[in-house]
Parts: sequence; C-alpha cells; structure tokens
Amino acid sequence: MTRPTNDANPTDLIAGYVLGDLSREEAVHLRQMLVEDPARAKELKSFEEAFSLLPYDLPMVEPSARLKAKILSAAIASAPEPAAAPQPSNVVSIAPRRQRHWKRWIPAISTSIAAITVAALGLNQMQLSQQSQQTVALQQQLEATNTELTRLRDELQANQSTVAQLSDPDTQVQILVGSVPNPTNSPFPTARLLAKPGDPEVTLVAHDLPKLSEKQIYRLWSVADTTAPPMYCGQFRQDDSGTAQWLVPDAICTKQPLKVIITLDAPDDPTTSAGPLVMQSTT
Amino acid sequence: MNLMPSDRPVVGEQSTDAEVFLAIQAQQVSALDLLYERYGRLVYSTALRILKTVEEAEEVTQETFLRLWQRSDIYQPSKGSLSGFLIMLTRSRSIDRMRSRQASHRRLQRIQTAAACVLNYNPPLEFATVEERSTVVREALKQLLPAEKQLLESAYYEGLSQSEIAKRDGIPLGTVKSRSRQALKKLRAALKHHL
Repeated sequence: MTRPTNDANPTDLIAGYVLGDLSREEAVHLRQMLVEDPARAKELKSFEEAFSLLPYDLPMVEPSARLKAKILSAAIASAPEPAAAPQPSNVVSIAPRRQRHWKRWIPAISTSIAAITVAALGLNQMQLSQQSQQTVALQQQLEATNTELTRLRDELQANQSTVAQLSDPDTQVQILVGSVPNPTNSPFPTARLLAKPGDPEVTLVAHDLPKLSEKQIYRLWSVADTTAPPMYCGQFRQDDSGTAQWLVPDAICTKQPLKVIITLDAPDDPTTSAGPLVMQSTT
Repeated sequence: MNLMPSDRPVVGEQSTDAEVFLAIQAQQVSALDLLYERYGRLVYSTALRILKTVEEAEEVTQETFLRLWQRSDIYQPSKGSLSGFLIMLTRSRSIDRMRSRQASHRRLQRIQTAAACVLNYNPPLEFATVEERSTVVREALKQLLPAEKQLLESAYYEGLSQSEIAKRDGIPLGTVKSRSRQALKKLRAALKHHL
C-alpha cells in the first residue's frame, strides 16, 4: 500500500486519483489539499480531460445505420408532446394567394382525380398513423405517470417509517461521508444511519451512493476503538430512494461505536475482513 | 420545456456543442441527430474497444445518447465538455457491463471528477472537430513510450486497477503506479495548450 507523506507531490496525487490508484490515506490527503487550495481543482480537471481524450486515438468504427434510426425513433417516442403552435396572425392574408394558386391548377387536378383519391387515402392513412402514434405516446406517458405514482407511494411509506424512527428520542443518528465521488454525477455520497441501542433494526438513508451490480453488496462495519478490527454489522442494498433497512447480526453494532464504515464487497465475501472503503462516519 | 417554435434554438453544422446541448434540452430531435453525427462513431468505437462485441457496443451507444436526451440535467456544461461527458458516460457504462460479466468486482469506479468547483471550463479542443482532436491526441501520445501508452490504455479501456495490471504484467506495483502517473503527466503536458 502506498502511504502518503507530508511532502507528497500534489501533482502525483492528482494523477493517481485520475488513474484510480490512490490509497485511502492518499485520497484523504488529496481531498484536504483540494479544500485548502481550490486552484488544484483546475489542475485535477485538466488531468481528467487529458485522460478522457484517449479514445480519440482509437481507429474510428462506423456503427450500423440502423443504430442511429433506432436511437432517434426511441427519442421521438420518449419526447414530450409538443405544444400546439398558435395560428399565425397573417394567415388570412396568405390564404387568398394560395386559393388563386390552386385555381390555376384545377384543370390539371380534375384530369387526375384517381391520383388525388389515392393521395387522399394516403393522407388519411398518414393522419390515422399520426393519431395512432399520439395515442401510443399518451399511453406511454400514462404508464410512466402511474409508475412514478407507485414509486412516490413506496417512498412515502419508507419515509414514514424513517420519520417514526427519527421521532424516537432513543434513536441515534450517524452522519457518513463518501470516500470517492459517485461516477455518474460526481458528488461525494452522504448518508445518515439511524440506530437505536438494543434494537437490531437499522435504517440508512443515502444520497448519491452508487447503484450496485448483482455481484456487489454494501456492508456496514462498526469500529469500537482505534485498535480493534472492524466488526461486521450486516449488508444491504439501497432502494430507489436511497434507503435501506436491515437487522444487524449483533447488538453491539448499535451500542455507540467509535466509528461506522461502509465498504463495497461481493455477497459471498467472508465477513471476517472488509472490502474497499466507500463511506465512513464523520465523528 | 415548452418553447414556442420561434423561441426554439436552431442548430446546424456550424453550431457549437453548447448550442446543440441547449437544443437537446428543448427536446429537438434534430439536435440529437446532429450530436450523434458528431460523436456517434467516437462513442461507439470507445464502447466497442472496451466491450469487444458489436451488440453490447450498440446498446451502450444507444443508452448514452438516450440518457442525455431523457435526463439532460445530468450534464452540467460548467464542469466540462459535452464530448468529454459523452465519453465518460460511455466508458462508465461499458466498464460496468464488462465487470458485471466478471466474477469479481471489488474496486469502485472513479471516473467522474471531484473538481465540482471548476467553473466555465471550456478547453480549446471543445471547438475542434473529432478529426482535429484525433490528430492532436495522436501527436501527444507520441511523446509517451509504448509501455507508458499501454499502461494508460489498460487503465482506461480495461478498467484494471494498478494492482491488477501489476499482477497481469508481472511488474512490481510501485513501478506500475509510478510509470502510470508519469505517463499521464506526460500526456497532460503534451496536451497543455489544448486543455
């Protein structure tokens, strides 16, 4: 493990951060440097931009034409219904000119009545098709709204339970802060752990904690003192609202530990040692 | 956002990425079309390099563009270029898929920046075409030794941790770390006029 020193080269640490090779201590050291010297943030950004330019060296491969069509049609299907355009105020002055224009072509049209009929049928079909697309879009919006309502109901139910815990005077709250930023939207995750001494049920409410794959699980560990190894206090996956509830395996987990930490592990990892640190309590 | 037709941003070949993004926020399909024309090949090539299957690369490409279309708030222009964001998203999703295929996934991805306080970050390359950027990056990479370039590519495309690279290549971990950092510093120095 690389350990930081007081004279660690900031540029080295920034390069290491972008490459993802910082030790926990180095990451803490870098965060401290960024707080103390905001100008370093610009340097970090330029390192990230340099690293992110690597794909421009790749031989460019042309995706299939149907991929673009697929993306655009999916975008159209998911686009909100456009607002109806108001009738332009100058429509009256344009209309007579159009009528005169049509009149000039009436003889030609009258000799092509069959073609017009076919065109009219085609237009009807197109209008029907447009109406059908609008109906499908409305149905999709309705389904999306129903799904959102269900999600909000679930969230409300979960929050009611959390509020009930918070209103209990014996409930203790631990604030946790992430060690690495969320790769999707960049802020460092934060969380509150609600636990009541003697009660095996704990609740974690997290923000910006990355979603897990099937092969991953978050684990909570309790640290009794600086010399003791972390003690396993259960594992969890957060729901869509960032909340998780589970029962700790040992009552000692909720007896005011010195610190609690959250690690990223595989579900079948042994519970005798902790995986990479994700969050830790601030006290 | 319900903009009147006359208020809608109009985009064309000459539009900047910032203008294209505004039009995407206004849900203009033509803007998404233009963005795909600009970066579709780059996004797809990146996904293909990481995932190595056409089917998955196409899926990630679709997810990347649709994600921006459906949730344009996930991109914040003040934090970096739109092209950089698309590549970051592509890489993140590709590596997620690759790792989900693998038995172990222990390391958190650390792709996005902690430098949230950097405002108005507009690197000069933002205004270059993909072809011009490719030329600049290829010239810059010539400053690196082949082994240094290989280390950066392993970290970028294979999502390998330094210890995984050390184990795979039979090189001491300390050497991998110092060489990788040195390589990235050289690349940044070679690109300094463009960042």
